Amino acid sequence: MTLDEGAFKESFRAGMEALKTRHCPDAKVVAVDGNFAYIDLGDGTLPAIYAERNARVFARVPLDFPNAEPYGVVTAPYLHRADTAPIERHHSSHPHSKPIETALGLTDIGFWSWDWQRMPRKTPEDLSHIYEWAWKRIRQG
Amino acid sequence: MTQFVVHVGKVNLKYDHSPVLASLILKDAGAIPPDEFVLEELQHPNGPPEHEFQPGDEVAIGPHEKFFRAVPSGGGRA
Repeated sequence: MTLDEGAFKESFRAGMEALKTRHCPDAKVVAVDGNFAYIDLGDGTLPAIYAERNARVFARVPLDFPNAEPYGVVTAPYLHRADTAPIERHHSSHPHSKPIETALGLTDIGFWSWDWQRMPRKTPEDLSHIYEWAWKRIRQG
Repeated sequence: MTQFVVHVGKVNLKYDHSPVLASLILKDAGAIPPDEFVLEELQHPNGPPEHEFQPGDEVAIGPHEKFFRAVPSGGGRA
């Protein structure tokens, strides 16, 4: 499923273009909930700390970025550490992951509470940093 | 002229000299301001990091392509 990105604000579209050019050519908005878009960042290989080998990663981004901050990362599937240690601020059945469930029919997903502290947010193109921002959280475990 | 190729995410860059300041590579890759990022050298594309460069560090490059990612210094558990 892909939403019509032409309907979004010009600044958001500029950010999406920068994201696609610099990091993730296949990035796309797959769900919208209120002022937040869920951007599919694609499938990636996980570090060895996880029991799973791959995950699909989504970032929750305000449609009026850079005037508001992204908050939250979603992964499919819900991830588990290989050493079975709990993962801090990693939630199953979280309300913020529901739009992904509804839009894509995925059920085994996790929501990671992760915010945009000290991240660049001066230009629309700073949205491109969402890719490494999301993966940074995943790599932390 | 010899050109050394480095990849930062999906961005491909070429330099005609070595070493190169990590801050320049970060800036050329769109990681601006560069002092809000670190440059991680990867063992291979999408591979695990093998070295981390601060913006003020010099990065030795050469005839073999190198792969990096620009990792933001920010982000926090909420």
